[in-house]
Amino acid sequence: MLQGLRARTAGTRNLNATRLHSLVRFSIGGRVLAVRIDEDGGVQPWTVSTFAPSQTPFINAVVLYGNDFLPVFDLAGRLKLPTKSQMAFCMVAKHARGPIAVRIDKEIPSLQTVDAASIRPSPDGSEDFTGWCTMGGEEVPILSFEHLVTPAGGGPAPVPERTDVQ
Amino acid sequence: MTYQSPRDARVPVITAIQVLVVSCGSVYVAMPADITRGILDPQEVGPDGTVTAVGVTYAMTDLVARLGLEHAGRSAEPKIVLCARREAAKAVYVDQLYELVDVKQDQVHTLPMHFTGAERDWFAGIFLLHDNVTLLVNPAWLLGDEREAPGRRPCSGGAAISLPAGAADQQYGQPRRPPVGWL
Repeated sequence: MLQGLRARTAGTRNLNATRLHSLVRFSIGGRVLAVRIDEDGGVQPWTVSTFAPSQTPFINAVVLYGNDFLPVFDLAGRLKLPTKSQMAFCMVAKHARGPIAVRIDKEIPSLQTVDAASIRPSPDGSEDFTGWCTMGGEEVPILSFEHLVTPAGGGPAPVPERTDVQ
Repeated sequence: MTYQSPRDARVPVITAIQVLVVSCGSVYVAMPADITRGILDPQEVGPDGTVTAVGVTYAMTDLVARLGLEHAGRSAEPKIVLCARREAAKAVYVDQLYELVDVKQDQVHTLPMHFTGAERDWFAGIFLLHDNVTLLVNPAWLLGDEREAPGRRPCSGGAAISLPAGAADQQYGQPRRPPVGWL
């Protein structure tokens, strides 16, 4: 009987347990976005990139960090967001093909924890965004670099418009 | 008589490649020196867009245009680099010639895998030279059939001349600092 009580209690505990997702909140072109922490390879000061002739959409430059050449992914262009000319940060994003450099705004990214149950699917079913969540009263899309860096022929994905939570 | 076992033969290990560094627009490009046969000025190209040197006819090709770039401004000193390998021979137009230099093979990286377009055919690698990112052109693509890239027009000009041997061995000065990088 005691074992059954323990099993029922454990099950109840599991139902009440909250699954939390760690996200990195950052800004690009003045727009707030988030990415799963396991796709974030760190943030560094932005360095001068070098143009590289390319037919790969939104990848036509490289930066040198240490001894490695990282491709630069034009996330602002991909999402049709303006690029600010001020000093910026470089987010080193993790990707199956290797790390990529993404220029983001000079606003220091922050780590946020959200309840998995509060993450909603993208309203347009876009594969570029794994969902939407609420951070500090603001609706924030969660993007996936794994899906954003597409083969040649992939089109841009504008950030869907959503009203902030009142 | 000393007998030398075949096992004693030393297989030469290539640790460095010699490249000719040029610029196309604002991009530094390296061409393997083993395919270069000479250097000409653009006005030395025949009216039919070919160059004949030492019995070999080279068809003109504009490397700047083939890479989808815009030509450098008036400050550039364009050159024609004669390139040949086996039966393929091309006179390659570039915006600026810099130097002939040895590059260690372990310095040359492959293009990051995120580049998935035609540039994987254009370039055999990427490396840092004098603090400048330099792209190593793929000789097979450079000398290959251009009909797969319609719309690219080679440049033309001048009269054909015969080129003295060894012209490709000349040095043309140190590379300058590149223009402001793409941001």
